[in-house]
Amino acid sequence: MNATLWLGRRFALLGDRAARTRTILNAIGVAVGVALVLLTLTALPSLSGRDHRSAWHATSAATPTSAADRALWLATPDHFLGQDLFVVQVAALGPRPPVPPGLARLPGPGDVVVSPALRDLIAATPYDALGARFPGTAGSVLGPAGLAYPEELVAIVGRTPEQLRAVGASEVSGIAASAPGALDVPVVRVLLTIGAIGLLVPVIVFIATAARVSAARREQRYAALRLVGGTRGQVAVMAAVETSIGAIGGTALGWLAYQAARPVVARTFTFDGAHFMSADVHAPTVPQILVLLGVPLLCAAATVVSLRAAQVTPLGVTRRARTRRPGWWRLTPVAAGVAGLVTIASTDLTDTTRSSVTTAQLLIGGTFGSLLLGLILAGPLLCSLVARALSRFSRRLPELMAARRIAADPYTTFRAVSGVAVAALVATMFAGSAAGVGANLDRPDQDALRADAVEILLDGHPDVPLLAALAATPDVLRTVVARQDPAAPDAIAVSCPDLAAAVNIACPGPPSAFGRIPPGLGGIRRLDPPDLALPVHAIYVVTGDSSLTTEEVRTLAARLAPGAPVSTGRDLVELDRRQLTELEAGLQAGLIFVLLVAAASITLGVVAGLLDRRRPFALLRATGIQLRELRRMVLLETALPLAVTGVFGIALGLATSAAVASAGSQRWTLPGPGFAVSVVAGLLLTLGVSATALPLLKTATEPNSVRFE
Amino acid sequence: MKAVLEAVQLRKSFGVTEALRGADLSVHAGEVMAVMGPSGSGKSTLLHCMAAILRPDAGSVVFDGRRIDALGDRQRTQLRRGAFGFVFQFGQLVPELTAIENVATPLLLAGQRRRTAIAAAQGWFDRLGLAGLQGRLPGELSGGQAQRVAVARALIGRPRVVFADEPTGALDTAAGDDVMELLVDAVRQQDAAVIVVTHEPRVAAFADRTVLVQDGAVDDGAIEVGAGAAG
Repeated sequence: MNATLWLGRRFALLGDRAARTRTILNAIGVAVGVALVLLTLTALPSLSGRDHRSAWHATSAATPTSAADRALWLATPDHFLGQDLFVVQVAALGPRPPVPPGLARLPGPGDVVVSPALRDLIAATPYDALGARFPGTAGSVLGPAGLAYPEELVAIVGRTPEQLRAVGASEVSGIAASAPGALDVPVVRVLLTIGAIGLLVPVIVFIATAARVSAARREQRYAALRLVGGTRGQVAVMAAVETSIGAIGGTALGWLAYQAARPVVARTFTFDGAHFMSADVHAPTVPQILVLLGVPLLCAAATVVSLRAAQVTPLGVTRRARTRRPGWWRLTPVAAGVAGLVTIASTDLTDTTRSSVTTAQLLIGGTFGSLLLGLILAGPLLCSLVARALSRFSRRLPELMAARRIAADPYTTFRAVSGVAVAALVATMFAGSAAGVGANLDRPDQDALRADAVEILLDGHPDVPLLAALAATPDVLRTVVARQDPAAPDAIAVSCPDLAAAVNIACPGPPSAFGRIPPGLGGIRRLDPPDLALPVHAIYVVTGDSSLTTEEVRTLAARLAPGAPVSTGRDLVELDRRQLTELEAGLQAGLIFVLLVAAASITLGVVAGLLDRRRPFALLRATGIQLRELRRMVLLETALPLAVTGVFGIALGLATSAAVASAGSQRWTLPGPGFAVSVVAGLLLTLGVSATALPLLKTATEPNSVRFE
Repeated sequence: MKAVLEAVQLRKSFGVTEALRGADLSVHAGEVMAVMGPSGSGKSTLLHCMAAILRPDAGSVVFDGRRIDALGDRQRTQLRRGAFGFVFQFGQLVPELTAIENVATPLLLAGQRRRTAIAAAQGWFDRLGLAGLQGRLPGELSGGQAQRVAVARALIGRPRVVFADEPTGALDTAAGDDVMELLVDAVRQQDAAVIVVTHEPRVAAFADRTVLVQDGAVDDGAIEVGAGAAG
């Protein structure tokens, strides 16, 4: 083996205990970083995997042919106590009809196939509330291939062709293999990307910090090698090999940890109220390979670059300290970002035309990019300004020394806390948005269904048996019938006071359209009293607060008007609440994750700083500075930039969420005290964790550390 | 006799501080020269400029008839590896390498096979009284042992000139004498020249010639011929 490569390997694996410890620390740091990066990369495949799995739900007459025979198909999205329930009624029109994934064959008339979760739910629920919706013999269970997520509620009900033709089922000749999903919504992609940046930046900072542990000692060693004839190239190769060995080991460990964590992630995290299939939680192959190859290369490159930044001469190491103060120009991207926020605030994001959506995406993406870049560029400037102010007003030595050290190299100081600053921006942005959504949910939506009302859109389904059954149901408080004139299909006829029992409207209403009204209705024409000769368009059922009664009404509708769309006010509110709860939970989890990574990163940075400065610190102690003063100095070096840049990131995050809320015509409020407590506690925890490195200060600065050898 | 290494009118500044102000010095093959002077006089800077570690601002350094002061980093590195050897006060041994690996380092860096380099290093352990210490890390050696390892490393490439900057500065008198004796004996056997920067008369006593550096220049009037104690 080439001697240069051998020496690099030797330094990483077979050196003294300190060298081995350094390699192990590097490897652990890289392992944690790689695992977190790979797990973050699973977000999009997990969602797109779910979209792909549920694509068969979108089967329609327009689905391309893939089977020899045809089938009748009537899909009805349904709910049960806030959970989505997908029901499809099918009838084969030949021996080889299209079959959904997860099934060996289509169920025959009277046969019912349910998902495992629905099977369990039916068993645990009164028959009238759920089981009665699926008349027939419960036969086989839907296989995993037909499930979008483990707890999905799906029923495939076999019917006769006559039964389905009577309710207007479509003829299909194939099963849909693709359908628009959550990831096809551009804003979701933008938000996921922003979230991923918020998660990845601290991880990358962590990996870079891990790669620089004991950098000073390493540089001294390379200076010794330069003295005896090592060229810059040889030294760079040795450093790259040395770092790569730890990084390769760490990458392999990280990959194993990622594999082990995949099922845990699938079982733990939810999106839209549902967990993920383990098989979907995987990082895409190409990015995975890029990470596995790229991280060791990145670490090696970071080491070589840091060696270049330090002038490794035969006489030792002189750091090319950037003595130039950060200039005011660094605020330019922040200014551009703030200008972008002002523009966003005056834009109508509810306009869903294609060009508007593209413009909004570019605007939000560009503005966020500017703010992110601005935060990273302005960070050193902020650290420098605060350090200079502190050095002017400080009265005690530790404060003065900490301020001088920060002011001497605000770039390195900020780098250590940059992950927290970025996370503060992203987390506050999401928290501000979540608070706004919550505030809007608490406000009753004009013209929306009341939470205790059920809407059954009949449109051609028989109404008499259903109305009779509803009248016989003891817990139904009121039934409102809306009729429709076939000559005026965009309006319904209903008594306004009756409708007001089920819908948030004020009576007397306007004589014609009421504007935005319950789903499925294009406009309301008020007729007092309504013309009873008109056919029934929809039935509004007021059920009171009993969720079970609501489900009984749904079941009646499923039995007596199969295929009729049923929705409740609670469905919509609960969907929004569920998403909000998830957003808040995700935010908490993201914040905890980022703060833990940041804490580990800062701790590593403190350890590295102590090891690199053990001699000067030992000399300070030898000259009479007390240990607690050194501790205060080290803590201040971390706490000051952490607080300043964290507050700056929070301010930018709040401004972003306010601008986006304004553009979406939503009310905006400050995140609740819970978020504030989380942030402050998180920052204190971060600082507390980094303080665990302080005992090292005592041992690292023992009097014998003042010796050169 | 023709000088193997010669510095002419060297000037070197660090910021506003002038370390060398026209220093002249030459050393001949087989000669042991001591450079003395008060702290801050520029003696170490002079040594570093002559050893192709620092590049002088003005003046010239000629080695074996060839100017080396203006060479690029790569060529100066080659010189340090092949023609020069170094023994400094501290910071010169690589803490992660064993004593024998430290000694073999110049050969390894020159591209020799590891087995060959280690075998060559082995011979120096017996010669310098280091037998049994081959597998020890620098942190496990005494100061005197570490300096003897440094001497072995300086000499393994059969250098033409050995530069020693306060080589006994961190050692007690006995250990210092021991190291100097070994160093001078070994270089005489190789017909190499030695430039020793020191502030200790005991160390200078090992030299054939002693020069005094003062205010960045070699004080001609203070040049004296040493006793050449080891010789």
